Amino acid sequence: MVGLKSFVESLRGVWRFILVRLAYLIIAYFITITIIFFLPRLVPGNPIASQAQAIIQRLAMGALQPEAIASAWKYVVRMYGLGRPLHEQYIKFVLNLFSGNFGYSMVYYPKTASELIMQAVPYSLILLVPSTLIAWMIGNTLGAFATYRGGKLESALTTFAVIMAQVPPYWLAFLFVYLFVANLKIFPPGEAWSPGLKPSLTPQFILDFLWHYTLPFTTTVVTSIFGWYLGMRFICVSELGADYIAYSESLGVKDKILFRYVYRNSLLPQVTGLAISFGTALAGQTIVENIFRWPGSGFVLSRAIGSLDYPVIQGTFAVLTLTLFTANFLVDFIYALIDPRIRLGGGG
Amino acid sequence: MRIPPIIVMMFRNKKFLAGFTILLIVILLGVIGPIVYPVDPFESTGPSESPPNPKYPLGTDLYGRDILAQFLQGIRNSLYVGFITAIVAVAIGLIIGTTSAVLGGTADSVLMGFTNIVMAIPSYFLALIIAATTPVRTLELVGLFIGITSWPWFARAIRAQLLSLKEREYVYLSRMAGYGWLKIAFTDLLPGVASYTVMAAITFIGIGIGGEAFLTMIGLGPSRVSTIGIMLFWAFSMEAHRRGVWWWWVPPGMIMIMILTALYLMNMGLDEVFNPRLRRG
Repeated sequence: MVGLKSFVESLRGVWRFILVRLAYLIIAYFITITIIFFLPRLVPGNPIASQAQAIIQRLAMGALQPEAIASAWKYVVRMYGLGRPLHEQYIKFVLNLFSGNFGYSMVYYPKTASELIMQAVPYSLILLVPSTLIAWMIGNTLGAFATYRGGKLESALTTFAVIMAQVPPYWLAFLFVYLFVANLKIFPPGEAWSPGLKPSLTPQFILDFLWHYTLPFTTTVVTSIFGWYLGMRFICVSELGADYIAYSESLGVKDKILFRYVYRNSLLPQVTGLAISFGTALAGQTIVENIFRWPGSGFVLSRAIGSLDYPVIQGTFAVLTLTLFTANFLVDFIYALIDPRIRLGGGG
Repeated sequence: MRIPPIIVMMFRNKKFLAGFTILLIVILLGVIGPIVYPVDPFESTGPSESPPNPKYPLGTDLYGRDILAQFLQGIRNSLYVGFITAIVAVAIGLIIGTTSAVLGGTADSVLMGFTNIVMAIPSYFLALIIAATTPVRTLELVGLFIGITSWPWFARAIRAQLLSLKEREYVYLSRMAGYGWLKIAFTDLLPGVASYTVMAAITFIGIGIGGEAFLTMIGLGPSRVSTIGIMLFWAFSMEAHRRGVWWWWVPPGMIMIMILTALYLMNMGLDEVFNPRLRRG
């Protein structure tokens, strides 16, 4: 332990920060997995056992040969380690999970949970990442600009933002579907591409995809811009009260230059906020995907919940948390690079 | 009895007053509404999907159930979930934050390590995976699930504030007087974070209401009651938004935006009252 501690202390700046963050995230991920494992096994009625039962019943109803049922039963029992001590089940579960094996889907039986999830995750990411980043950029620029201009524009925009920041993404999705799909009919009813098309890199498919992409994308952007706007305005206002501003002002530094300082310093906490916001945005998007029938992980997740398809629920949770942790880590890394206090190894 | 000056200042603040008034109206709608309008929200009495009319002020849903009745009961139940979330999250956050700050040392490292880990997992998803294991969910359970997953940022903030309060002179004096840490925590430290706790509680009410809607929309909401989330979920399941049945999903969404805006305004106002530096004019 002493060796580890002195090793960490010998590291400087960025590396030390990154290593500590990474260690936290890895521990957090193990705990996440442990929660996924124990929760269903501790509640009365053990959903895992009844789920194994359900797979067997499904097989039996599919009029399989009795020998086939017996071997499937054996397979299911082995897969979940049923009847084995809990710690053995746990180790098995963790090993399976890290090899991407979450078990079979109960509902789409011959399909595995990871097949269903891995098909969906790219569609979620292509929606989540651009919309979050664009909302971040627009919101922060708008917030800084409004604070700089001040006056009526700022107070009007802020009042509007206070209300808009509270609009739940799924409700805006309802509104969009109602207006643009049901009434004006200028956008498709849902999914990621028109029926009959095959995913490919042809211009025709890409245009069709973007046409389907517009509404869900706009939903996330519009509902997250104003949170950033309000945050940025708040930080800028308090930054403007800082001593270095008063000092620079007394030196006669131009407003424009002064504001550039403020903008840069205010952007830093917003970078940290970005890491957290991926999780919030993903939660909102989970439901938005369902409203637009977007074939992402949220769509898979809510279907799995509807049919209590436990392996898929657990698998989606495991994959989504891993994705978010990776995103968090990347944001932390960028933060460490741009914050001179960390880069130069001052504070910590 | 004199009204404490801080309360007077709160109600003199325009933002707080506006938010408080809106919230009060919504609470009255939820509490008194179902008494004044005693219609069973689950009884299919009317025609299917009738638009708002004198007999059904907010129309009916696909099964001919009264939407106004669902709406009023929904407001009450969603607020209830919000309050439970706030109580649970504030209690956990205060206990962990205070213990961590007061004890320090290993206890502090362990508790903050735990807090940081829980904070890394997105709270709504953690609530989701917990809710997925319970077949029957009461309003209390839903509030509890959201509460036990959303406290970490608050615990951290409380710890940070108490750490600085702990170094104040009056705390040293109390220690010299021979007071135990428990007494110091209650008489010297916790009053110092009271205003922050009130603001956090207001935020948690919003988190609870939003969390309920999230869990319900994904299919893990409370069973056999009406809430704002349940109304939206039904409207979504029956594709009301695709068929022009706007009166089914507009009211719950609007009231949710109203509640969240009111809570936000209250916190903006409180922030100005409690932090004199933010006061203008």
